[in-house]
Amino acid sequence: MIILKQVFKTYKNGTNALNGISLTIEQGEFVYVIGPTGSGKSTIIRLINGEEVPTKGLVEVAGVNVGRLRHSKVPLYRRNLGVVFQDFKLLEQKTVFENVLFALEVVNAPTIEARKRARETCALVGLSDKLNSYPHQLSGGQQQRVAIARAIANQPKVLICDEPTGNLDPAKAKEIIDLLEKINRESNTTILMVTHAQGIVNSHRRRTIALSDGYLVSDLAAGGYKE
Amino acid sequence: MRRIFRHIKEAFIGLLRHLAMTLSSISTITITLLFVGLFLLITFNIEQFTYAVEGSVNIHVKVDPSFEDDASVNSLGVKIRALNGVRAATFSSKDNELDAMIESFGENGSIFESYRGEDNPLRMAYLVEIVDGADIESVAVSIRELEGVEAVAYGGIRVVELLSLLENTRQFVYILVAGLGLIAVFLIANTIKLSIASRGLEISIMRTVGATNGFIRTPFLFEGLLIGLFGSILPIGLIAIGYIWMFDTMGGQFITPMFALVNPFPFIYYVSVAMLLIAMGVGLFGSGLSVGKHLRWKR
Ligand SMILES: Nc1ncnc2c1ncn2[C@@H]1O[C@H](COP(=O)(O)OP(=O)(O)OP(=O)(O)O)[C@@H](O)[C@H]1O
Ligand SMILES: [Mg+2]
Repeated sequence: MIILKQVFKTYKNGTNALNGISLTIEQGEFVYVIGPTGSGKSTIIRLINGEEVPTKGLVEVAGVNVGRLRHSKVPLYRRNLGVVFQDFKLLEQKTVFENVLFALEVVNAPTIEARKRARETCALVGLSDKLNSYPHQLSGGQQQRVAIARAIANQPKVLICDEPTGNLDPAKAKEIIDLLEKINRESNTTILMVTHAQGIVNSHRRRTIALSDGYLVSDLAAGGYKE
Repeated sequence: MRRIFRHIKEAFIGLLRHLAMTLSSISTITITLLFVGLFLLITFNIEQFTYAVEGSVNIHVKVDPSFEDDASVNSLGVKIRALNGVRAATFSSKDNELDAMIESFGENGSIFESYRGEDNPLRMAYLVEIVDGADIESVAVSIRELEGVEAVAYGGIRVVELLSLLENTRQFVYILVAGLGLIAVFLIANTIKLSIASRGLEISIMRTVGATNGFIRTPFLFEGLLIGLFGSILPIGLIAIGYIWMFDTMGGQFITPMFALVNPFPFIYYVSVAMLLIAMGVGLFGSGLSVGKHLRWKR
């Protein structure tokens, strides 16, 4: 469960990125966050993964008060989350399998289980036949699948995606959404997806939270979105 | 254990990625360590020499014949002992002096036996031991000025000069070591900084998936340790082989038999271990500086 209560965020340079956002997301929900550029979408994500702290208000994820978390506790907390970025952030000198395994290795997962889990996760995202390929040998959609596999390898409760389809054509984007829906359905992972893609929001209707200038302007359980 | 291997592997990858920088760090460590080794060799040998010199450098004080009465001789002894830098003064009778002279002439010494008795032309004397060989000249001058002293003589001045030359060399090497050590730390810190910078993406992924800060830092600290380790191989070899060779060619002594060189075994093992530890310490310190600066706790 993700709870934001009267969250304000003012960056050091004085920019008011969020102005009193309150919302609750239940475990297993699939939520879009939309809004024009600069409206504060990425800021919400950075508050949830603990990269930034709220200037005022409460950010609570899986019972953890993220804003109050001591620095040394942040890494363990992050193991509850998976994060996917628009630009994939894959390691070019590692294969698909190694990229996924990497996320497990660095949190000290036991080797044998980690390798098994990495293979399963690659299968889940449909990349079983690309395990030994390098990122540059893959299409954008495939690269984003690797990034998703890496994000869910550790079986997080929450998967947050910052414009995961931003670099993909509509057909590939649709495949990614289908994959995210499958993950949401099969493992009850909460999914929070920031997007600009109107087509997707309208075709795959889900609860949709709209931001503008740091204010929450609509929160429609029915989904859908028009300019 | 598995973790340690991973960290070491990552450290190697990091070192190879910046080979030029790595090699320059390693060579600075190598040069620094050569001097560290030299410093250690000189220090421990000087220690031993000083010990020898302290036992052998003394001042021979001849008593003026007109002050040979017991009271004058005793008061001279008291005055000598009261001087700064004097450890002990032993009275030596005329007979005693004769014995010493006879002994010093070896086989032919017995011809002096005829001096023994009332007609002994030698002087009474004090044998003065001093605290620090380096002070011998000034102590001798002070003694000469005392009443009842006919003459002072001391041997070993060359030895003392040699010793102070060695001591000066040692101090020079010490300063050199300090300067080179600083350069080494700086270069290592820079190497690690490059390594951290080239792994920016990796580090940010590690943070995102929840790797601990310690886990993120460790390979970079290992990089520093490895630089130290690799940098120490050549100088340890050179110093060990060089010292053993020197010991053998010089017959275990330095210029004079009085200066016995420290036996290479097990001395050279201690020096090697000390050099290795210093190298790894410098490596760890350099990388620690960089890691502390560029991989601070952050969210
Ligand atoms: N680190 C930062 N320091 C200062 N200001 C920032 C920082 N990050 C974001 N901002 C500002 O905060 C506001 C919200 O930024 P945010 O990145 O959350 O927007 P966004 O909705 O994700 O936009 P986009 O759709 O372009 O990604 C913007 O005005 C931005 O300039
Ligand atoms: Mg953004």
